[in-house]
Formats: sequence, C-alpha cells, structure tokens
Amino acid sequence: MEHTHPHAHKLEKEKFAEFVNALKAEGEVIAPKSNGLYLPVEDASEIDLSKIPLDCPKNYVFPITEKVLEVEGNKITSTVESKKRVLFGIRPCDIAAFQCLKIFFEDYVEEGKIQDPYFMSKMNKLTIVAYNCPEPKEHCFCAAMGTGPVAESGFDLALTDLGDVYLVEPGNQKGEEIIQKLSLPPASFEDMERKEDVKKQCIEKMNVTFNIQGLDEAIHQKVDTVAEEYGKKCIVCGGCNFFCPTCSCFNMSDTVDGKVVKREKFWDTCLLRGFTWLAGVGFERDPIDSRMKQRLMHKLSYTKEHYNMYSCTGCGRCSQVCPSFIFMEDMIKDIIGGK
Amino acid sequence: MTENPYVPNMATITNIKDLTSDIKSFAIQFDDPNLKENWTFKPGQFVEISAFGHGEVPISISSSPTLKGQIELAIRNSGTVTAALQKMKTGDKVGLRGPYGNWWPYEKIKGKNVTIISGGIGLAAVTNILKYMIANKSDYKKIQLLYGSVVPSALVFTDEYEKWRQAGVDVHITVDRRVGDWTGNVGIVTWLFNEQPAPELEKVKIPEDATVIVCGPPIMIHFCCLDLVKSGFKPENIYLSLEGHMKCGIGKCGHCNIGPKYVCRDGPVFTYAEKKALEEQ
Repeated sequence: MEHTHPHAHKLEKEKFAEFVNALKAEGEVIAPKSNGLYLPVEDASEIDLSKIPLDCPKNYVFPITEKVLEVEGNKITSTVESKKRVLFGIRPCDIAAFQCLKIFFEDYVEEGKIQDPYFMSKMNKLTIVAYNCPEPKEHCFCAAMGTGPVAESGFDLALTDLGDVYLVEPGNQKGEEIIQKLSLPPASFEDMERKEDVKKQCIEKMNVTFNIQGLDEAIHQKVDTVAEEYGKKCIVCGGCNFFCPTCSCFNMSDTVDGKVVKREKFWDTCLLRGFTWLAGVGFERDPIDSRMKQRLMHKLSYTKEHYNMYSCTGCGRCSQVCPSFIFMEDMIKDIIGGK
Repeated sequence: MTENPYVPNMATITNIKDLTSDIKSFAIQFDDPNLKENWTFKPGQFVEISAFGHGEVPISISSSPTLKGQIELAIRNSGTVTAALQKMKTGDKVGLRGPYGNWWPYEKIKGKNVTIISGGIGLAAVTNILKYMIANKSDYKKIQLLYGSVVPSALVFTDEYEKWRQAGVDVHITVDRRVGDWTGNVGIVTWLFNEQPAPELEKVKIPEDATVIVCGPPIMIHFCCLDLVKSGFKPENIYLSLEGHMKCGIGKCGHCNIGPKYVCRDGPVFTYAEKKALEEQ
C-alpha cells in the first residue's frame, strides 16, 4: 500500500466527540466498546479505546454469515451488501490483517483474477481510523511480525494517544481531506518524537524475545515436528481460526424457507476434521497434526509465498482464546530455533 | 456468466442416463440462449452444479467441448447434493457456474502418442479429452485407453467403447473381479502394462514416448504413477486430475488448499512431478 508522507495534526481530547461526529459523514461508525466488541456507535462516549478488543473487526468486511443468493422458482437474485462504514480505533495488527485479506480476496494471481465481490464491496467503502497501541496485552507479538505497535500504512487516519492530545496522521489523500475538513491544528516535530516514545514504550512492555529471521527456511524443516507436538494438545475447537483476523476460509450451504432457497457463506476452519471431507473419497487431512500443519503453513508460509505477507499479524488472539494453551508465539519460537 | 462469480446460471436437465446403479450421466443446457450457444470450456475443466436447496458440488465435464449446446456430467450418488441431483428428472432446473480449473494439455500433446489410464468413475473426467482427440484425430498420433473397474457392473460408458474403437482408439477394458458372464480381462488396470503376472489379462504396450493421462480413485492414481515411473515414464509426462472439496471453485473458500496450491485453480490437472512436490511440502 502506497504511503504518502504524513502531515501530522493534533486533536485536543475535549474535541474527540466532535471528531467522531464528523466522521459520521463517511459512514456508520464502528468502534470498540467497553464490552470488548467492535459495534456501531452513535456517540463518542460509547467508545472505549483502553483495551485491545478480543473481537476482530474482520466481521465488517467478511461477515460470519452472509447471504450469497436467493432462488425462487427459476429466478436467482443476489445482493451484495456494500454499506459505507468507518472502522474506528482499529489496531495496527488488524490493519495489517485487512491488507492481507484484501490482497487475497482482490486476488493476487497475475492472470485471470477473480475478485470476491462480497468482500471487495465492503472493503472499498471503508474508512479506516487506526489507533496505535500505547500498551500491549498478554500474547501480543506484533513487533516480531512487523505489523505494529504503530501502523505504517493501510489506513486513512491514524491516532496516537500522546497523553494530553491525540496525534492525527493521514495515511492517504482521503485522510488528508478529512483532516482539512476538520481544520485540526498541525502537530510539531516534538509531537512526532512523543509518538516514537509511545511506540518504544509499547515495544518494551511487549517484551518479544524472538525475531522471525530465518522463519521462511526453518518452517519447512520444523513444521512437522512442531505440528505434531502441539497437535497432541489441540482439542479441535477451531477457536484460533474464528478469532484470527486473517482467516478467510468459508463454506456455503443452502436453506429452504417455503418456496425460497437461500444460499449463505459462513466462516469455516481448517482445524476441523470435516474441512477436507470429500464424499466418496475421505479426508485429505485426517490426523490432527496434518491440520495443525496446514494452519501453521497457511499463516507462516503460503501467503508469504503467494503475496509476500505472513498471515499471522502477531495479534495474539489465537493464543488468548485457546483452551489448551497452544500459543502461536511458542510455535513460532520452536520453529525458528528453540528445539 | 454473471459478473458475481458465486452466482450460478439457471440450466435445465435435458437427458438422464443410468451408467451404473449409483452413477447417472446428465445432459444439461443453459437456459440463457446466449450462454447455450457460446459458453465453452477446455477438456478437463469442471463446473459447480447447484441442486438448489441442497447445495453445490464440483463436477468434471465429461463431454467434449466439441459437443455444442449442452454439457454432460457423470454424477455418483455419494453425498447430500449428489443424492438430490440423482433424484432429479428431465426438465428439472439446476444451477451451473464455471468453467473452473486448468485442463488436460490438449495442445501441448498434439502430434504425440497419448495413453489414458482410468479407473471407475474417473473415466468421466477423461472422456472430455478422449472425445476431443477423437474429434481432432489428425492432430494426435496413437490414442490408447486403459480402463478398469472393480466389477463389470461398475464400468461406465459401456456403450461407447466400441464407438471409440471404431474411431481408432486402442481400447483395453479390465475388471478386478469376474462377475456373471464377463469374458474380458480380469485384473487391476495397472496390470495391463506393469510386470505383474496376470494370466487372465492381455498385456498392453504403452508407447515409450507417450504422454500419459491418469484419472481414477486416489489409490489407483498412486500405484499407477509408481508403475509408470518404474516403466520409464517421466513424472513430467504423466498428468493426473486431483480431487478436492472445491466449494467455491475460485480459490477463495480454502477447502481444496493442498500445500501452497488450490486444486480448483492451480489444478485440478497436475503432473505427477507437481503432485510429488506438493506431497513433500
């Protein structure tokens, strides 16, 4: 994503509500609330930026379930929802995840591109307001994956909490226009240095003890043993996939309501045994370690090979939700060198 | 086709033929006259067929692109959607979208000897190239077909073998087990060409320089390829069609992802060399 060098501005904290209200012109404002979910907000007072949400904003571009088409008699109708939305307070890891999903659904192949209209229609209507992380949470390792704690691109506007004010940086032309409309005062070089301090402090607190140098080679050598070891602990709930901001697999099914047939696509997970079930043949990946391997390879190798991006952003959600304490960061560490 | 790749086009079943007790061949036409006239595909590609209310499944097109105005799909009753399709009658509506995937190397193998080895319903995924080559016979050298199934009643397209022979194809049929008054070959299809002593079976010589196309159950593909390599065929000259749970057909849903490849998009046709590389991933 092309990143124009930002002209930073400042937002007084008492003007936060005004800022959020002004953003409503760009679409429905979705922001993290105190319950830890990204939800539509009417008023700035509903927004809680203090915690890193476990909820993943992916749902707004790639819904858990989405109607694909309806058939009545001989008539097939499809509606592609494409509402204008402002995703507010999106963390840098999730912004990287959006970029990853966008490349995938927009199609990374050179010839014969096939775009996913359901994803693209929503993605193209988004205004993304990033919120650079002042604090990590447990299991955060974005610094190792190079996606955070400060967003470098993939947003329209980025906010950084500098204590008394928010630093507001545009990520593109659209962001600059919004800043102009709001006539925010310019930020000083000192403010930019304070942003660097916020970043430094966050990285320090994150205390990531590994770097991913050599991962691309190591994964091919180590993935089988790591997948086997961690596969033994996996209870196959699929939680890691469902909370993952880059997981893009889905299934489709039909339901019948009277004379109307409805086809929906819905999230699916490669860790479930039935994922590769093939009628008349069986399972492509039956043992759990083969499915754990698939997950690791997809996150840490295949998308890197396809479009030069890991589809693990280091957000740590999979580690956070795993009831068997299978931590992605541990698996990466084991792949890179430990054992 | 509609712009939205997930939306099928309405089509009508115009003919149904029983191939075996659980496999039927469906002739299908697009309702849209323009599609009916102009929709085309390459031999080896597949379509997603909808039985509305039940779902969608990927099926290889068994007819040749040289057959205009309709396509033929051989479908085995093996799951929810295929069971629903099997209950359908002539005149019933289905949804079709595609064609998807890559195809048999029908251009690359022009001027060459081509041997097709197939098992069971796998024949339905190679009749497209077989019929295409018959329709363009002068473009190819010797065309050979080695086909086997478990028992005689599981052989598909039985009324066509004689037609293919008359068209100049070297056809060899075998069954694993003799049942009833079967007088033909008895033995696994690979025995037709490998070193396995098999008294009840004619031995077939595959031309040394032949490009080999293999399609059948995974276990048959596996042993067939091993035997071919043992007989001196290069993995790069052996083509096979892989199966996958290809839900979307367009490389998005993730179900047919094997290694870094998507069967629906990078395949379903792979060389044996490519398949081996995928297995090593």
